[in-house]
Amino acid sequence: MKYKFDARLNFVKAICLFLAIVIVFQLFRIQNSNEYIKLSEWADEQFTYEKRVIYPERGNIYDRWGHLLAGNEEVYEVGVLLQYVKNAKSIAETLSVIPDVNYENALETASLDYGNGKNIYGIIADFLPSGVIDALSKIKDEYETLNPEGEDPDLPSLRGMVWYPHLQRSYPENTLAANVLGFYKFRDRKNGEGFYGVEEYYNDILSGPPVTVEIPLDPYMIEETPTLPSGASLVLTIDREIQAMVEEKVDETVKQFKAKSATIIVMNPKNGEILAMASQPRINLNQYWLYEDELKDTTPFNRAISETYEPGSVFKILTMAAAIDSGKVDLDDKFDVGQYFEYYGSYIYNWNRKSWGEQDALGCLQHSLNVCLAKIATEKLGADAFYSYMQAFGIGRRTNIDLGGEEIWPLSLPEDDGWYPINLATNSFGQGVAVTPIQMATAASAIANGGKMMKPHVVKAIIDNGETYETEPQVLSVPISEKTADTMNELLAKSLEGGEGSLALVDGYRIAGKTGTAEIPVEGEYDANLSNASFVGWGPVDDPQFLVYVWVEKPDPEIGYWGSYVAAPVFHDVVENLVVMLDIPPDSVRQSLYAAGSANDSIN
Amino acid sequence: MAKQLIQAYKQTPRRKQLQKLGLSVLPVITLGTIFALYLVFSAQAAAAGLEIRAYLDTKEELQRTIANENTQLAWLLSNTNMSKRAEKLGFTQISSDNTFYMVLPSYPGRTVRLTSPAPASDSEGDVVLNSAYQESLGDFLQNLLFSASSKEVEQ
Repeated sequence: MKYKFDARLNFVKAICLFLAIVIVFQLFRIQNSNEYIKLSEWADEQFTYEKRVIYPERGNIYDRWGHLLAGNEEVYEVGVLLQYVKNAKSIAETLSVIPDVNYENALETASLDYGNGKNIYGIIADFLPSGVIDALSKIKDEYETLNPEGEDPDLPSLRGMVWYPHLQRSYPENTLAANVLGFYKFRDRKNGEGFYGVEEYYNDILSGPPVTVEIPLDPYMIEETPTLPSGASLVLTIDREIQAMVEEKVDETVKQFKAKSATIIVMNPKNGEILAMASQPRINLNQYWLYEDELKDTTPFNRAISETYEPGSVFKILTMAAAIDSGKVDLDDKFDVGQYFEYYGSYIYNWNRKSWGEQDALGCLQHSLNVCLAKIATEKLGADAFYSYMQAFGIGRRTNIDLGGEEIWPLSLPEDDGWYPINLATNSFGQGVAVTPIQMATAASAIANGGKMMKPHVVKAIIDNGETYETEPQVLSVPISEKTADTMNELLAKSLEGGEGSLALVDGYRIAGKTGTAEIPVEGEYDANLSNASFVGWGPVDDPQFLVYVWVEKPDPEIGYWGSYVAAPVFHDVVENLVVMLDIPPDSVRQSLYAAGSANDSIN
Repeated sequence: MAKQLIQAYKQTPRRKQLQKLGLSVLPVITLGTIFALYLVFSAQAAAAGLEIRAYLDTKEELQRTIANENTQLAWLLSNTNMSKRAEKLGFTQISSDNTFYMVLPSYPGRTVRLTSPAPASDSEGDVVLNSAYQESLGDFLQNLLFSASSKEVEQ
């Protein structure tokens, strides 16, 4: 009995052992077969990781006080998972209510054959706000109640319709500072990039490139999702309130003088920070694709940096500064300012075509006398010194402001083919030479800032991955000495007080500045009815904290023609608001505060 | 007599057979228990992995929401809206004539407030689950054996 039991037990054990050995052997054989290796590799490739394209969040853009000028908002992409579509028609009908969604296209996408996974997903609409998605969700739920699982083909069903959120560039201020910001082509999600302004200039640091990552699907292999650092954020030097005020003034001026356009730049001459920069036209950055409607033909996106023009008499401050700095002209020197000045067979006239008798440097600037400045340039300075100074002032050279799209007009020099001796005479009072508003404002800032010309810039700081990097002011050049700058400051303040630009004066504040009126060449001839009216000024004279440049392009001559009448009052209005916004007390108050040793002498 | 009965009970064939059967099944039961425990822990690790995946998705969603909320706030506080609101409340632009300037020694002046995107995590691409939860029983035994043998070689 005992023997029989043991024999049976051993038999069962042997069978179990044999089966175990067979199973182990089979496992070993299968796991080392070619088929297994191929299958394993295929499965690894297909199911171990999911490839996903991650678009890093584009960096924000703020004004100098932290107001968001460009950010990102959540929008939705709506598409169909073809495998689950039950009623393509009702999907197309529902989505065709959305603007920009075409019924035929939607139906075509929703009707695509799934084809065992050949077609999986189709996009029907994109960039939809959450409100639309809420409405779609409600309709989808209603249809689902009416037609559970979309089983009845005669009843509507939105099964298969899905939506996915993503971020889209958004400009909460719409048109404000549009010329400075530029825009990001957010509708092109794969290849979107910045155009114009800071969006173009800083495109590479605002957005990291999209990165394809492999996300493990195996829950045991779970990894931290690669949280790519967002693009760096920019803090601009622009002050939102000043920008809004200046833009309003630009619009008013264009309307008042029926001008082609107007441009105003407000900068801090001490460090080159641009506080405001406005021109016309401006587009709504949230609808950037319509920009061709506003910017027709060759209209530049930002006239302040992209449009060159003959500046006229504001240029005289550079000629006079060069003459004084070179020691060729003293303030006491007298000039015989006749009705005209003949030079190489050409005639230079004063603005009123009258003789002004004997004038000193102050008189020449105060009455903006072309004959006087032409004589200074030709008889005192000479071509070499004149053009050397103009180059030091940055004429004909880029300021390299950190905005996309800066243009220049090359300065014609004596060694160039197109240069004639008369150019020296006309260039001295700003004709026959072309600049952009930013070039002119930067050149003038050298006089306001003790001879140092600071590089204009619009980015105050860069915030990258939680770290803030302040932008250091840079000296672009030192075209004149501090002594010359002080002399010019005083000269321009005095000339303004009793001269052509008196409409620019602001009660309580001593201002230095100069008007400009330039004729505009049309097909090689100057048109006496077309002018560029401008004004450049800064203050307070004893401690310049702002510089304002105004350019009004082609005002209606029946309403206004001269810089003193068109641009100087605009400067006045801007500065009147500006001093309040920048907390700059009137000179008398400030000086008493200085005396008490408590004044804050810088712009916050 | 009692001793004889105990001796007889111990030598009962059924008793002996049960003992042998029990000893034969014991390894099977032990192996079964080990596999059961392995399955339970594996399932728990998988569930934890999926939960972590869900948290990571939530984190991504929250980052998007924060960016969106900041922008929506900026829309509400835009210059146009704030100007309209100020006008509605009866505020007007002050002129320099009506401004009174005074010195406040301890006043730091206007300060900047920013809500820039949060810096990226330092743990990008890090494996979240401990490696012990990622290996199979075979891997575990293999590692155990190989690490033990390599230690012996080192010694």
